[in-house]
Parts: sequence; structure tokens; C-alpha cells
Amino acid sequence: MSQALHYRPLDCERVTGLKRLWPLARQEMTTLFRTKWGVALFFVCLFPSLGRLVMLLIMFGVVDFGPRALRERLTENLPPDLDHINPARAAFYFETALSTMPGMVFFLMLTSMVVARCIARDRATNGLELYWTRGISPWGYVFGKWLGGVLLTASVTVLMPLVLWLAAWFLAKDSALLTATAGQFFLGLLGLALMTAIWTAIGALISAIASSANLAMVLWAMLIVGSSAVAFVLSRALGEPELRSCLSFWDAGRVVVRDLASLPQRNVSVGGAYGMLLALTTVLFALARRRMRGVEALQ
Amino acid sequence: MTVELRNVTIRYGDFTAVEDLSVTFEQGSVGLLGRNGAGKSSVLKSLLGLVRPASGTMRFAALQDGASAAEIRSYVGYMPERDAHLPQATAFEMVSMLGMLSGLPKRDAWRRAHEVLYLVGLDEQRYRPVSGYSAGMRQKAKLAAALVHDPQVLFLDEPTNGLDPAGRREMLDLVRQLSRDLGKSVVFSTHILQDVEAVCDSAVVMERGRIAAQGALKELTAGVEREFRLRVEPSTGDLLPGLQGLGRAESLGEGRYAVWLPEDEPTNGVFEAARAAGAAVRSLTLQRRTLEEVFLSAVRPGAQAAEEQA
Repeated sequence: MSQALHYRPLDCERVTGLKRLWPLARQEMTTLFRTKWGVALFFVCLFPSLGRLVMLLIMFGVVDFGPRALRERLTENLPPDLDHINPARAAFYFETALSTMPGMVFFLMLTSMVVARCIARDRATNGLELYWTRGISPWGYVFGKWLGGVLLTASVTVLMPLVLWLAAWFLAKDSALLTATAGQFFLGLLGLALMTAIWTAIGALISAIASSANLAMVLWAMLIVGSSAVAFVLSRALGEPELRSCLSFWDAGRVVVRDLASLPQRNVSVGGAYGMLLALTTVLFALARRRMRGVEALQ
Repeated sequence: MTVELRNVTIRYGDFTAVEDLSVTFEQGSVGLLGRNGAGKSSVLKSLLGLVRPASGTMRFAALQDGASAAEIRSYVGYMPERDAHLPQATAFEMVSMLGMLSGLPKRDAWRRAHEVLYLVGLDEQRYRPVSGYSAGMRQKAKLAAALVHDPQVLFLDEPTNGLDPAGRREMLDLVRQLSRDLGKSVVFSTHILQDVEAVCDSAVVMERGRIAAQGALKELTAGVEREFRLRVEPSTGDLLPGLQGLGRAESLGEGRYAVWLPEDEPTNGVFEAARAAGAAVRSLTLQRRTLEEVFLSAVRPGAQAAEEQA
């Protein structure tokens, strides 16, 4: 040890693979919680699920709220069109994450603050030059960032439906109805996890392409809201309701989750939805490859 | 030998940035000099494994042949020229995070972050966001980040950029300590020749992708002919004929002369010439070339060729 400099040579085993990338994912996962506004935003994103939890408490009679007759009507003999408010159906637990309102809005708020900014923000501070000259590859870096974004987003889109489902199981007098939903629910949960991974991957790729964090946020918002709006208008104008699942990024994801969970769907093109997501991911990946070359780190 | 490049050629498409470069970076500090576009950054990129040379070999003493780019980057430390930091991060978070990405377990990365921040003099400010640092503090934070994983080789790209005189001196002292006291190999890329003279033992001057001059600073600045300044008393006698018999000589007036002697010519002749002219030598000092002169003479042919081409 050099006494003057208090410098000790390093003597430790180096970690490799995912262990090396994990700190990057953890940093990305907690980035929202570094400011009070970020913490507030995260809890706002939990509101729809908390609302569903209150519905469950009312429906199962834990909280005495509203006329008894109405409560009984809500819990019994609901038509299939109202599956999304019937705790005895798997759709009840997914609807918060998959609906346009509030699901898409809260998803957009959360991801635009985290996933869409993750790489563009590092580029703005020349952080890429620091990251890429470490013992990780540029795509390892993207993977770490994406993993953190997925875990944070999944805490809202995947974890909350699971919590709701477990709460319903706990509150129900008997488990018959809920065990009947288990198969569909877990397939749907898998679908939600898959879609969260794909949606955040697309967000991270946009972040990799964009030259600034604000531009990345705008592009991301345009992709989600813009494609939904265009798909809605075109499908109405052309009288082709299936077009929505082929043109709207959000609707395509929703169709895929419902398809995986074998939930009934009308006027959708399942193949078109898969095709749309695959094409979008491929195009963005090809564009991002140009910006994620190691040589870009140093200028 | 710490790092060796042999016949390395780097191409970007049709453009050849570095051609047939062979250089060895020894333990100690080496100045990497060259004008913009000379190929310095390309050499750094290839040494960091970010660019694969079109031909040639690179060898790191402590690494096996065929080591992956990530392995190479774990072994070397790099301090970028541009202002760079991680968004929202404090110096401690930035340095420890970069340590973990170099493969250090969390506990070691934290310990090392504290140590290197103390080493560069940022221990008091380590929990402040780097975005709020002064230019000098940011440079130190980048140096700490380059050191956190205890690399054997350090690439410092313009480390004194944007520093005030006191900050510059501090940074140069630190770099000198790293190479002399801690035994690191430092490759010091800069435009500021005085920094190289202050810190480095040797220098590599690059011009248009090739090496224009290379060697120990003493050798580079010594030149082929030795230039002396001579002062004699009394100043009345004429020494020129006697001095010109030894080499080239020129009178500077009032008993002062400039004398150029060939490499193998001893200085005894100067004393004898003075004695023969009835004068006594009061001083005889060897003049060295400045590094700036070395640099300019090395890059001038390239610059002229570029002008002619234009």
C-alpha cells in the first residue's frame, strides 16, 4: 500500500455476465424514486389497481358501501360484456393494465419518465462514453437498462394484477370461482409480462435512437397515443374494426395478451397484431444498431 | 512492455485513419501527441476494443492473446476528454457504479470508490451530484472513475482540459504520482506540450495516421547536433575561426557564441580554442530542443503535404 496516496491494489474476483449488468438494471429500476415527483408518479400509477382493490372489498362485503341490492347485482349473474368488472372472471384483473383509459395513460406516464429516457439521457451527459469503455458491451448496456425498465414497469402491469388476484382469493368465501380463473389468469399474466417486455424494449430502442431525452419522450408518446388515434380514425372511416389491432401499438399488445389468455375477442386481427409488433421491433432494432456501435462512444 | 501495437491499420470504410502503426507503450507515462485527425482517438478506440483494426496485432502484457473487448476494458482505465457524468448521480454513485460495471463486486466497488475519491481529493464532495461540480472537480471525478477498478494501463484524454493553473498543476502532480509512485502505465493524449514535458518520460508524435517521432523525451529533445551557448572573457578576442574548426559557430556579441558540435565531438576543443584566442571560458551550456520544436518538425512535412494536396 502506498502510504502517501493511501492507495491499495485491488484484490478481488471479478464478476461476469448478468451479475455485472445487474447494477445497471437496479439503477434504472430505482431511478424514478430519486425525486419526490418520481415517487408521487409511481403511486399515481398504482391508483387504478388500488381502485380495483376497493371494488373487491365492496363486492366481497368487507367494506359496507352502497345499497346491498346493487352490490348483490354486481356480484351475481353479470353478463359476459361486463367481465371486466366481475371478480369471478380473469379479465377483471387484467383490465386495469390493458384498458385504454386508465391503463394506457398510466403506462405512458410511467414509461415515458423511465424507459423512453433511459439511454437518451445518458447520451446527453456523455454517460455512454463512461459506460461503454467499461467491461460491458454496448448491447449489454442496453440490456441492463431495458431490464431495469421492465422490472419497474412490471411492478405496475404484472405485479398489481397478481396482488389483486391473490387478494380476491383471500377475500372470497370459497375458492371455487377463483380457482376456476387460475388457468386463464396465469396465461394472461404471462402475456402481460411478455407485452411489458416488448413494450419496454420498443421504448428503450426509441431511447437509443433519439438524440435527446425530450425527443425520446415525444416519440414514445406519439407512438402510443398517435398510433391509437390514427388506428381509431382509420378503422372508423374505412369500416374495418380489425385495423385497430394492426395499426395501433397499444391495441396490438392488448390483443396479444387476450389471445394468450384465451379471452374472447371480437373484431380483431390476431395475426395482424403479432405482425405489427414484430415489424415495429425489427425496424427499431435495425435503426438502433447504427447508434449503438462501440465506435460512437468516442468522438 | 505493457501494451504493444504491431502493424496496426484502422479503417472506417474507405478512409484509413491509422496505417501500419507499430508502437510499444512501456511502464511509465507516454505522451501521445498529434494534431486533430492525426489518429490519436482511433488508437485509443482500438486499444479500448471499440474498433477492430483491419490488420495488425495488439498485445496487452497481462492479457492472453484473443482477449475479448470487455476483458480489455476491464484491464484498462479510460478518462474521456469530454465532460461526462451519469445523470443525477453523485461522485460516489458514479464511481462505484462504473467499478461494478468493470466487474467489481458491490462491496469492493464501494470501498474502491471511497479510496479513489480520497486519492483525487474529492472525499469531502463525494455525496454531491457531479452535475453541480466545477470543471476541475469533474475532471477529478472522471480520473477517479478511470482508477476505480485498479487498471494497470490508464488512457487519459486531455486530462487538463478546462482547468485553471492551480487545478492543472494538481492534476499533473496526480498523474505523475500514478505513474511514478503507483507504477501505472499512463498514456497521456494531449495538445498541451508543456503537460507532456511535465509528466511524461517518453512521447509518440502521430501525423496522418503514422508515427512521425517516437522515443524518450531526453532523446527527442537532444537533436542530432548538440547546441551550446558559450560565454568568454575578455570579449575582445575573436574565437570564431577556432570554433568553426570544431563545427558550426556564430557570434552573438559581447563574448557570447552559439556553437553546434557533432555528436562525437568532445567539448575540450572549445576550451582550447578559447585559450588560443587569449580568453577564458566563463560558461558553456548545452541547449536542448523544446518538445514544441520536436513536434513542429515532426508534423511539418505532413502539414505541407496536406496543403499541397488541398
